[in-house]
Amino acid sequence: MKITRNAAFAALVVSLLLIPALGFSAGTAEPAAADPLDEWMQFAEVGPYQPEVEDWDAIAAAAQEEPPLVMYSNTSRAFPVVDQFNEIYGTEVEMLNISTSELNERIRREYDAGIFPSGVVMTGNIAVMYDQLMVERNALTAYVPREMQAVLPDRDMEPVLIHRYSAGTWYFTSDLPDGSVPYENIWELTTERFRNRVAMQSPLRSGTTMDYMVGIVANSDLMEELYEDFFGEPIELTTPNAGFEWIRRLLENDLRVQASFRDVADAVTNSDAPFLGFGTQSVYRDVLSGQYDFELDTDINPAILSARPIAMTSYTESPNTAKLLIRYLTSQEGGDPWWGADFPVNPEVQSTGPMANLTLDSFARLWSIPIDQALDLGDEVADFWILYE
Amino acid sequence: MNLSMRRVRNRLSTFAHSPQNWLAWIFLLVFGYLIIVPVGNMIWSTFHIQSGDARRAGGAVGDFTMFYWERVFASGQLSARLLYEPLMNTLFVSITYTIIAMIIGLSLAWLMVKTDMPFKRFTGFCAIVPYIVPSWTLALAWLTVFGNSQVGIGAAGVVETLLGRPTPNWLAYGPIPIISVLAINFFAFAYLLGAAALATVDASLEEAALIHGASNRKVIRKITMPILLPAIGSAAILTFASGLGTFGVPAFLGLPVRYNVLATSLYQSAAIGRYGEAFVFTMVLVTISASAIILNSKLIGKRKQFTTMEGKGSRQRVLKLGKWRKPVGFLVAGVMAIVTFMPIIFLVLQTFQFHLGQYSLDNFTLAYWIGERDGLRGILVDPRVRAAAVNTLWLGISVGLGTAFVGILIGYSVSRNRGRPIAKVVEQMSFIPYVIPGIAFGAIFLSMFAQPRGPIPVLYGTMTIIFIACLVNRLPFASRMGISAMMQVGRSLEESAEVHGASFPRRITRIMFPLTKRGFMGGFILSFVSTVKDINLVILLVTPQTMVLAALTFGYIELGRRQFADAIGVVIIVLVLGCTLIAQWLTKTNPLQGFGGGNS
Repeated sequence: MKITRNAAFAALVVSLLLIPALGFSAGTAEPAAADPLDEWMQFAEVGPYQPEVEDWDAIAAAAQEEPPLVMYSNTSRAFPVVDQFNEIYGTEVEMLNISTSELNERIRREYDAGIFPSGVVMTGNIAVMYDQLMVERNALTAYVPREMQAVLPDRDMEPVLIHRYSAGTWYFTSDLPDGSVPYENIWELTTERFRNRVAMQSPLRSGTTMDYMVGIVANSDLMEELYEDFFGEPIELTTPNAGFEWIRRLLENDLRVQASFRDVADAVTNSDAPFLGFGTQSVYRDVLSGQYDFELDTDINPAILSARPIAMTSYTESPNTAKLLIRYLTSQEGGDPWWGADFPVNPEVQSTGPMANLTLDSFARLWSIPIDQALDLGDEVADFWILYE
Repeated sequence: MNLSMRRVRNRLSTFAHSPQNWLAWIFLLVFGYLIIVPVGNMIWSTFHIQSGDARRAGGAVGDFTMFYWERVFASGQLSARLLYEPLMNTLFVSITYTIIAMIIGLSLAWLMVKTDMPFKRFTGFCAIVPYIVPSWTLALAWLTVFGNSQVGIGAAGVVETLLGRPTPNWLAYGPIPIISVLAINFFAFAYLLGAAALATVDASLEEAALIHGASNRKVIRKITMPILLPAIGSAAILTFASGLGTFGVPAFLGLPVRYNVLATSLYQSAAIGRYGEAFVFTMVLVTISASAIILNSKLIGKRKQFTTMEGKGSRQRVLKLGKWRKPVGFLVAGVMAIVTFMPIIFLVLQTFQFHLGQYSLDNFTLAYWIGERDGLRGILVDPRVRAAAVNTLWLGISVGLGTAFVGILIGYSVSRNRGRPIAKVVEQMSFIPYVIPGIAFGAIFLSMFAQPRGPIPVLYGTMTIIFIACLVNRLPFASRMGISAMMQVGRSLEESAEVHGASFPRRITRIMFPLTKRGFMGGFILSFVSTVKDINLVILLVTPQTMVLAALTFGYIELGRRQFADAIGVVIIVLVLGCTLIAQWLTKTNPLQGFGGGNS
């Protein structure tokens, strides 16, 4: 009797352990056969079924009949916009504010489980979003209002609509009498003068910093040239190319790796000049308000273009609300929280506030990383960073 | 035939009348589904190419692979940086701060329960506050005092300003600050568990020894300590495991000097969507904590467990401190006040700073409370915050009550099944969730409950799934508390009630619960607090309707307006303390005073 009980017990434990192997595993079902997606696109009038002329009054009327829509956003600045939008259009849009990586994870798992609770997605990292949510699965559908299609360059709507750009750039405090940029060449950052005087987030924690490092590696020819300009002799490599070499020397020069952009800005403000930090240009808003004290380098070191995409969730039951919301968020009024610092793609939208004079054209050297390159080099850069950090 | 039928019926009837048995089986089944399935899924994931990894793992998503294990364990220098160095750092940090936290917590518990030290109410109040305060606040408070201008964010702390020269780097960042902050953060475990256990030590046992000529020290060593050992072991394990998975403090105080722990590796992998690796790190943490549990039960298991609550009177013996009474009281209350109030004052002050970190009158603002900044409303006038506060309160209380209640039942079935394999399995299973990072748990629960499974409807998007996730995640508190409390309750009390015809629910509510209500309160408070604070576990499960306070803080921090998040931290502290006081009043225990400095 005792043996059978123990055996039964063992059998139970074993079967419990087997449950995961049987029914439940990541991505069991693939709900997106070609047909249902096509059916939904017809219903939503998107993709190949987007009408040549969109009747916005009809869309607004249809939106009022649709179920409430949830927008996933990686920025809390969208909260007041959603409230305004509901007031204007009589819709029920709600917003969930989570980080870019949580947002990807969530949409991925929801899609794999065959549920589609969100309607619109605003996020930060275009490469990962495109790779995992638009190529690996059809979880997101690109949508660009017709009138914007007519005026936007491909870069801003292929493969997905860009809501706005920001620029990853260098903050500096200067020890020069005229307060000008205290270096002439990016390699100067690896010299004794800047030992422990450069602050940056880890590319493992910041998409913009990662893009910058990918830019450095992808432009290794330029980095080689700049090296010769500065040191007057050709570079001797200990790593695969001049880009990696720069990253390594920067790390070995006691780079201050920070937990957040704000910590970078704090370090630049708190430290004696010359001091450098890397982050997005939008922090300059808080320089103007008196929180921080530094200048932006737009002339010497390259800056990186960072795209913030917006898309519709495939299979949403509220496509009209989604269209209306995407159009509103890219407008002058609906994008207001961003136009004071970031760069709109919509040519009809004007930047506002004291930073309005800073445009993408202000940056003498602005790198843009193609999605493929970001994906190919990103993993390599991440591993390299882990090794030398 | 008839005879064997009757035999089966008899066996069934015995089974039905022995709640400790069917409870154990129910726990086994439920834990199997809610704990083993997610862990099984994680293990499965580490052997299959995950989304986004096709390129670097060389295959298609879903293919079998050893990529993640090889990468973490056998990739030379990369493995050293990812696993081995952080592992050594983790063990060093965790063991050291556990010892410190245990010494602080247990000494405090002893002073509170066993002596006539004055200011107990105040000191008891202070003791759990460092656990409630968000850990980033503690880390920042540390930097405010010991920060130096040479590393990290380069802000000179109070000490540097006073001395006129930079504090050494090792005092500002790295292992020493991490250990100190974690010890302050987690000594509440040792204090709460220790105080609950001490309060049940019957004075007659100690007096018997005293009468036979034993010295005070000998009584502590030979009587008090052995009785307390199970609780001490539990406290040590909870303290140790809490720090294993903590990311915030090492991120603030370790990253700037590149001092990495396993939690850093884990959260960095998860943060960039590398779940394959993140799950491998999770398994390493599960293994470490499982070893700690086994080691603990080996050490304690050799000794006898002591039943201290029998069907006879029990009272407390209070040591008179004599002339030391006042000095000890002042010293303890003073130190507690500093570690408690400094971070809180710091936290509160920040909520009134227009620009963070600028301490001047013209920087004073009420914007983050009742005004507006960056289009976001002050937290007292924002309907979203209000709705989230209601959800949070509901969640905290129900998870607190739920875990405490389940804990008592687990304690009951484990202590009554002692020595049987099922008790061991239930006990060990209930500990697993502790070391699984919240974000991983949330992700897997999302997948599990987004579709109906058998009798379970779609729970994703409801408060219920958040409740279940939190309940499962807090099981370790609950079961540790429940087991150590129940081990001390003698069987005779229950048996006599049973003989007199009391049903199982009646026995639980009338005998077991009143006797263990201190343990119950401890479980309630600890899980209430961690539920209300937790962001990682719920972040993938909340919706706009089921939003909770902690999950709102992300957006504020992302904007660089930590003042909003700090204000929410203050609200959380008020909520927790308020609920604790109400619970104390309702149950007539005194949790803030170490569950009753005197007799109950």
